Amino acid sequence: MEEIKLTGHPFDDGLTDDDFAPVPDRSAIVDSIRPSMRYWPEVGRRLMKNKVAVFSILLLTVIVLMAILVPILSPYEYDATSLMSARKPPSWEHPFGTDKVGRDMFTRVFMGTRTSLIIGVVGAFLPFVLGMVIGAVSGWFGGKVDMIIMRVVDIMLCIPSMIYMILILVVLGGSPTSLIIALALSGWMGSARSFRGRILQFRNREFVLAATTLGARPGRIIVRHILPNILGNMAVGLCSAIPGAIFAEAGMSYIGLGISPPMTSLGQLSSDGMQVFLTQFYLFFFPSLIICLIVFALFLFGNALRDALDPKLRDEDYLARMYRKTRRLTIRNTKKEAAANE
Amino acid sequence: MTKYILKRLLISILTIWAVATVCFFLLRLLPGNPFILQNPLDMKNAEKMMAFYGLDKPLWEQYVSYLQSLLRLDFGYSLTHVGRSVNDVIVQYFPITAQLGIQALLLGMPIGMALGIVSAVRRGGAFDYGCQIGSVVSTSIPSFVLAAVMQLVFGVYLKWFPVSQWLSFRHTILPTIILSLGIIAGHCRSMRTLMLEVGRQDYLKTAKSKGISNVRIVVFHQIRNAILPMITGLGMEIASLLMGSYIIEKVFSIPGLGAYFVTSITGLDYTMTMGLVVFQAAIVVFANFVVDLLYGLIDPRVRIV
Amino acid sequence: MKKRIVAILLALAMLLSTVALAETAAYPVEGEGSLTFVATEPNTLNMVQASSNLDSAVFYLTSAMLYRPYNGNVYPELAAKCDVSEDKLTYTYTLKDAVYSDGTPIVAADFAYYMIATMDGTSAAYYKNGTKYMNGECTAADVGIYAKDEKTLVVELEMLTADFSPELEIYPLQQAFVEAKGEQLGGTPADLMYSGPYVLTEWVYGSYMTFKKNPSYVDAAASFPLAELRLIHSVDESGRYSMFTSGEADVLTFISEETQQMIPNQAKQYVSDAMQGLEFNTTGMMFDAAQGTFLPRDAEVTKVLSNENFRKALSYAINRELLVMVINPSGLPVNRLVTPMAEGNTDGSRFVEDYPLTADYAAPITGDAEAAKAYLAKALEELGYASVKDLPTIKYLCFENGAFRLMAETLQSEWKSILGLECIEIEMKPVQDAVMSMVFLNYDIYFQSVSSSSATPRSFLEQWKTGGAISDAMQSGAPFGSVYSNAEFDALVEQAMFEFDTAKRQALIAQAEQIMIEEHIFVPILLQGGYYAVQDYVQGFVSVGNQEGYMFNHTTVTK
Repeated sequence: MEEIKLTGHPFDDGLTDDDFAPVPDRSAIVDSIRPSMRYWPEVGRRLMKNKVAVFSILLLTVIVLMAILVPILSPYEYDATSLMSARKPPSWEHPFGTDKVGRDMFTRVFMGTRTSLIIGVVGAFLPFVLGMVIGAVSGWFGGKVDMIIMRVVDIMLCIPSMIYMILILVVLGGSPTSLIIALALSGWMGSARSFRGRILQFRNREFVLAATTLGARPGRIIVRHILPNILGNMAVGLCSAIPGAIFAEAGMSYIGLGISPPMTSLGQLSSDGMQVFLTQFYLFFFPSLIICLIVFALFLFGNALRDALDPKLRDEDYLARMYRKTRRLTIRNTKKEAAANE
Repeated sequence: MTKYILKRLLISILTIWAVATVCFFLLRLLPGNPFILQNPLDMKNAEKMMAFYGLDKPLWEQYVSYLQSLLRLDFGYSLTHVGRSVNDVIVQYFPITAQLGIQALLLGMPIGMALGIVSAVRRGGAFDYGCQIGSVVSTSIPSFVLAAVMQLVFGVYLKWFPVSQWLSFRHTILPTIILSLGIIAGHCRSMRTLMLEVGRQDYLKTAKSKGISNVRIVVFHQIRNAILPMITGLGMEIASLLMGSYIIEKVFSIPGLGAYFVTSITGLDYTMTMGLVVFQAAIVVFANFVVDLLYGLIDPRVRIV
Repeated sequence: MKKRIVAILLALAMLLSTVALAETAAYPVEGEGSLTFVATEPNTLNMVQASSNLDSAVFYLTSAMLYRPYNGNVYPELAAKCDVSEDKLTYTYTLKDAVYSDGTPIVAADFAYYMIATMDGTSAAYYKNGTKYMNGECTAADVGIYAKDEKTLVVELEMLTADFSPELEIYPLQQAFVEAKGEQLGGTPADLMYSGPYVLTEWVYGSYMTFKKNPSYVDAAASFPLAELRLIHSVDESGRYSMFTSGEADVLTFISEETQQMIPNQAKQYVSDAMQGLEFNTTGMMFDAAQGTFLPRDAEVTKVLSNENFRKALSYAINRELLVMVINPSGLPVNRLVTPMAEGNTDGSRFVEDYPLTADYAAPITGDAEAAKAYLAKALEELGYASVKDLPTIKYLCFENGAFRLMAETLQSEWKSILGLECIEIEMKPVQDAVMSMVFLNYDIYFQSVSSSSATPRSFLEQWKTGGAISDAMQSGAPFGSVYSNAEFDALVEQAMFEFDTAKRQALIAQAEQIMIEEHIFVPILLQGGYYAVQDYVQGFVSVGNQEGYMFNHTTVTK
């Protein structure tokens, strides 16, 4: 069989045999084009197929395990000072060195990881969810409600958050719970704004109108119809808000509002290390490295989760895969036929 | 149009008034007394000073007199930096902070957007991952450390730029670069997200099937539509840049407003905090107003009237 | 007797000043060379309301003084002579001819106005009718500070005390100028009058200040040789270090220990007069500002803190030497209240050598773990606790300030490892809240910093006198920082005030000190110190013994 090659076509460099293969028998795959798949199991399956996602989950697991195990197994207490062995550079005895008053940094860093993971995740999640609810109400109901909520957001954004943080912590006292409440109450405005914008974007889309016509309540429409469409981007936003929360905690301990000493956090260790990073680089490096790793893992995970969550993306990928599969099948069939013909 | 502008103006003034009111009362709820903080062992002096500044009067009276001076655009004198008028501080140092912020934005936004566009087009490639890692690292390393390292490298060892102060254009380069790093990371990330989102729209498929070249599609269809939502956030971003960055001002000894925002709150300098907050509110409100008008001009789908 | 002391003091002052003047060659009146130094800018240059060291450091440059302190000594500047009356209650100062930079003459009334305008509770007590004036019982005209004529300043004392130093380190301040400027006073370079060695020509808040030599300064030819000084305001450690190594700055008035390690050859150390130590709230009450009344604190905690042996256990457990070396290496560990710098009975001797501590009542500098455990056991027995686990939670009030958190964490950990105490809890508060809590006694343990700016040991101890500076407001209903009150101590401090024989006075002070140390209510730990850095080509820079002080009286630059 002579090969025909057409060049100069705007779409392709050339055509191959495959392009002239007969259309495959679609009856074999027509049932499986859109297998009935529940949303969440599908998300999980897609996530597990993504190597980057698996890597990030593994990394996070390792960090979490270290945060749990190191303070338990370490021969040193995270808060026990040892004035005779102050300022030791990293060694086998103290892998991350010791600080100014001789505390083992390895234990301290992973103790701090515990605090920062909790505060970072909850402290990023809570304001986010709060903002989402307020933004959804504002965007969905519009009109006066929207006007009032958006003006409140404007006003709150204009007042330095330090003022309410101090107030909240003076009223509630300095505990991790009040820290997270302070973070939530001072940080929901941004996510409320962006969520409102998203709701406005989808409010008048056909599927939402259809759901409204069918009598669905606003809550159901937002949760079941709009949320899945924007969850992906929200996941990425959430993951990138975590370093912000970790550093906000450190900033608050700087003005005396963080978690009570001798308990520590990565943000605090890193900011303390910053002061001496020219002479004792390791005091800054290790806590910052762990922050970077957590942020990086969450970022990769967030991206993978977005891809996994997006229902549109799912269809696209699925169709693309099916298209490739069809082509393979067709080529095989054509070749078989050709062989049979010979 | 005129009606719309008038309405917005009214809302703006109401917003500024509300910010002033809320902030006024919140500040007074903070524990402590500005004069005891300066001199904790001299209660009599503190009482004398409170009386001198009229801070011993009922809160309501103080509020009314504050609003009266606000109407005359008089923010009063600082409580901790005696003799400094808040108006003077704003008039003198706002231009410096604004210059730094705008320079950083002009440098950071195009670079960030360009990086975002390229990583969206090359999605999943090495460049894309490089940009993502870069943006993660730049958000997890405090700008304080970056600034200190840049100072040492470019100021002390290479001697390309002065280490600190704000005297000539050369002095502005290092702080501008450091401030713009955060902007680059932010814009790169959001531009990438928006590009990918736009990339999935039907009109792009139409364009593709019409045989338009890939470059044309990216430039005229994808980028254009991806930039639109970025403008919404611009108002807030410009406003926050115009109010200065505490850390960068501190590291480079730049006379800006950012430092006052932090020290005036911890030092309970009521007048300074109020002045800055009200001024910031005015900027935010104005920036949002301009952005909304701009949005109406750029995006024909949005009608503002 | 009293006359003799004053005469000796005066003679000494004259001698020192002539020595200081003789040492130095004449400098050109316009000055030579310029110097850039890094410091923190002043809060305000309003002389009436200025309170911080940062402010007075600038006044030292911009204003003439009646007597000028320099390098540990004081010499007369505008005071041509000082006559003391027979009863030693009236001091008459005759002024030299001098002018402000705008040509207006400096008159005695300017000094009188400054003294009255800046009078506080402690200083007012010295002068005739001073306290009455402070309490609003008489007018400024009745106060014993007035100008007899343009060149004569008269200061009348309320009573004779051993503490009053006639070498008044005061500035001239023109009343008419102050009143004309009102709220603007000291805000910008134009809102100040210059009579000192330098004129402030430029002040960009938060960035820099420029000083130009003032040719009309009275000592312009003999001191302050530099033509221009530039203060760069920087509160950032790495920024300071970079400026110094790049040569942009010639002097850093304050650097951290880490920076000191990087520039060991240029870095120098000072010990300040700020004493830091633990204060235990044994009063069992706190002030409720909203109600204006006292509220009781937790009775059990008060019972524990009031136990002397318990406090002793905490104090003896601290190895001050090691603690200070690790946390604040520039500081000086102390276990007593009189500073090592304080003068002793004879010229050149030191108080701490003349009156050494005996081991039976003061905690040793290196700590004594065994003694601490013994005291704790005794305390537990007295209080009726079976073990340390039964002790109530004791709150250590702390705020974020340099080494304060580290100090709290270290002490907590050391007490835990040596004494097995797990009941000490650190309570972090925002600085405003912490200071108010300290003032209103809302704490169990607090790491107090007490400044002894007036170098005499007596006036330092007086701060703890019931009704003294710190506990002053106890009388008026609002409590202050100190919780210490002891009648015997009060009497000794009071007695020392009117004792003019040096040896006897010192003995009284030593006795009072012993009483206070034995009680362990304020437990001294260290004298704060710090580092500064000077480039090799700068000669004659003097750092004042407090954070960021600077004196350029005979500083020259040879590049």
